[in-house]
Amino acid sequence: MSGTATMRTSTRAPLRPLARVEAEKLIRHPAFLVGVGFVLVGIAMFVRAILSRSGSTWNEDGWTVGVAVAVLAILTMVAANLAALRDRRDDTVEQHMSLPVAQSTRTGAMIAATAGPATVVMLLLAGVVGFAISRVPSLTSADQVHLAERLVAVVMLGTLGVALAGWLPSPFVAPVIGWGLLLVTPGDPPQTWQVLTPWASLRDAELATWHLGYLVGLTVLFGVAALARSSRSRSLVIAGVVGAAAVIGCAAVLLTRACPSRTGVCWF
Amino acid sequence: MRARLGHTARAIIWLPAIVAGVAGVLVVVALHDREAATPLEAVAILLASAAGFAFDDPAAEVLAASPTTLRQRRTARLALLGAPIVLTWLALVAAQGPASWAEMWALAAMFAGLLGLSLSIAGVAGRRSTTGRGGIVAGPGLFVLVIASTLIPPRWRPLPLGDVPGGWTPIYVRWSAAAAIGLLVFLWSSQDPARITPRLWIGRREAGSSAMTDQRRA
Repeated sequence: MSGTATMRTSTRAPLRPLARVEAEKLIRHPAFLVGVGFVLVGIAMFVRAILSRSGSTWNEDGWTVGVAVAVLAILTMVAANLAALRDRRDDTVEQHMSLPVAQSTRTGAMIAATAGPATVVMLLLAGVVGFAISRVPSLTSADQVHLAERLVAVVMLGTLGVALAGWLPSPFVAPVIGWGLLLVTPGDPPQTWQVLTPWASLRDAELATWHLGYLVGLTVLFGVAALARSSRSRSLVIAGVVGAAAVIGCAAVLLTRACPSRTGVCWF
Repeated sequence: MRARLGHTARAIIWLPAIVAGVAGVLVVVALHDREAATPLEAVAILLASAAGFAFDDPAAEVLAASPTTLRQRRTARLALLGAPIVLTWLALVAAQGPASWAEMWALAAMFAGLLGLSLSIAGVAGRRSTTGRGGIVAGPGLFVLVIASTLIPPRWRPLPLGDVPGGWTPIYVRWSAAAAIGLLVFLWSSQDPARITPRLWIGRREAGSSAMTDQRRA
């Protein structure tokens, strides 16, 4: 079977239907559904805090929603990883190699499918933010950027799950990375390097926007890493360079400005 | 027996345990200066998640018809994979050095609890899946259980990571209870699907007696 020929046709045409099918599977995956359960619990805790006492703010009580979405993002990574490892689990790698659709197209569809879970998270966050705006003082600019960061984190970790399946094809790896992401969560007092973790919530809107850019850059890099397993093209190299530049640039700004040495206080 | 264990050892998926061991060593080296609890909790989670792959057997469907029962097959796999996992944990605990014997017993109870839960999740998932592979559920299952536990106030938290009101005793009791429940669920999930249950025995007996009655009538 090692001499199996691979016919190559248009790579873009099958991408959309494949992505749709994979997105539906991701949304119905038990790991993702458990994550949605955590978000609903987080939302319930936030709503209860608002209704039970006056003077609540999103900044004080909205953390339950943020933490729950972080857990959901990790479980999305696990779900995407298991979905991308399906071929290996079922011993159908070579069978699929014989199909006209290229491996890079299937990987691209898996990455695009992370838009499905992100849409669900966006709807949940839109609902809770709509409720919050009607009850508590309006969200600050930093809070709004944090919400966008959580949304990007879902796509980023979903893409990381796909990349891990390509380079470290074992279902054991993704949960371990998930635990690692929880372990490096900024503590009290935070350390400067922890500004580079996905869950660092910067109180300053401008710095939070840099952190958002950093997460977007990481998403691009993970996507490039996933696709580079099966294809090497000029556009992929350009995307990799752009992603790396975004990550390095934003990380440099965050590391120099998040914890000003004179004050000894960090912005997260 | 020795030959059978040799074949079983070759059929076990060792990679997760090796990765967990190496990652555990790195965690202990990186966090050696911190309090013992944080790195050793991470080590326990890593090794327990890896233990969940003990029962993953691509030949489960073929071996299901063999005279060796499911429980015997799983026990052999667990003995082979569990021994190096426990030894690795002991070595890393010795390297890190807990602050007191009380903390040592708390960490031991936690490791036993996580191990029991991981094996129970893998056992149930392996039994329910047609491929006999439950290991892929063990890691995410442990993650969900521990995170869900943190939603409960510390006073009642069933799987405490860190301090809870009441000192060491609640930590010993809760993690030991988790280990016991995990062991019971594992034993239940490892019952051979082809065993003769009382219901099956009665059904067979009734079928046999009705067949004899039909023969007499004929």
